[in-house]
Amino acid sequence: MPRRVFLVRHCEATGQDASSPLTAVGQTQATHLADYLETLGVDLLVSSPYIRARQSVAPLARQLGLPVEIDARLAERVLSAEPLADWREAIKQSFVDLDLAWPGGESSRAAMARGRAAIDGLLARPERAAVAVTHGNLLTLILHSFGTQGGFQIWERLTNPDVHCLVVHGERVEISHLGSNLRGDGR
Amino acid sequence: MQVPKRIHIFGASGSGTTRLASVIAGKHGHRHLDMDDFFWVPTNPPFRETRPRDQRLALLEQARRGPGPWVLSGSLCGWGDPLIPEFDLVVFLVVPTPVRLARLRARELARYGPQAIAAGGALHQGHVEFLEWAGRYDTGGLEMRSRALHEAWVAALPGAVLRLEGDRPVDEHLARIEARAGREA
Repeated sequence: MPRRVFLVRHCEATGQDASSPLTAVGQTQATHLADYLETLGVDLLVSSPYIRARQSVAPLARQLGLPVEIDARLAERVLSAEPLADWREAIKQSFVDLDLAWPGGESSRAAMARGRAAIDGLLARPERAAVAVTHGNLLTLILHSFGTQGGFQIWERLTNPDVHCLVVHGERVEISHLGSNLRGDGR
Repeated sequence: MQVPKRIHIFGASGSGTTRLASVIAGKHGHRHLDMDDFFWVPTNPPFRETRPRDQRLALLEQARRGPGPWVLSGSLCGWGDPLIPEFDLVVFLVVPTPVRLARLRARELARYGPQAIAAGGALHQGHVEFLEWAGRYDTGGLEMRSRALHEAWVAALPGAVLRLEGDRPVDEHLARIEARAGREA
């Protein structure tokens, strides 16, 4: 079977801090995510160190009895150390000029490189199907690194949670977007 | 007429795995194990809460213990893979999607009643989403429970696989399994 990576944006969270937990709705979303992913042969779980990412994969880890590996390279991209007046506009610009960086922030190119390295690391392992939980901006950059066009529009349309599936056929990677409409055999 | 002792029957939702397994069990004395009973915690309405994988596997282990033959119906792609080496025969049911959807509609109607699944009913949304999901089986890729995923899974199996295609009566499927066993013997 071709190798797969399910690239997941975390479920609904209470805030943007590394320590912000999921909302009650987010907790329920995480169980639905687990119900969906657990029948697809997933055998490796990796998460951003942020609490909202770890909580998003926790129910799946429990149901599958698998540990969750933490990879700091899946943490959200830091746009700027200081709050920006118009951060949406800043993100938009950051997809146009990949080298743009605000003080204390990370350029799109730098964030994309570490995010992609994390995914390449997963693909180099013997496990067949991984789940990698990360964040909206970084996820969009990882998709960009695989050739998906339209960075800002993709980012804008992401939901919580949001799932993309990368299927590796030799040199070719096929990407499908599942969004948050995750319906399993659950009735 | 003998059939293999440890049989697994799988296919898309509505392909008739449970029905075929119960017919085999009735005629050949196999214990009938159904994945739904291990996967889901019994609730009312059903199919709301899943069991953790280790509990499922432990229950399955218990149910398989002992010398008698068994037939296991339902899809175990992924979580049930530790059982693969035990199967003497895996039967893959491939049924046209319109036929499956008609069966699933009828099953949900019988299970929940017309009111619950009709527009405005308590289970309407779940019903609609379930049928939509079941309808994507043929076109979906490896990101969902699809024909593609099942084909990839079955291609990697080490043992015997019998593929039964089409909307055929269950007795005909049973006859195919028996005929195959007869040839092997």
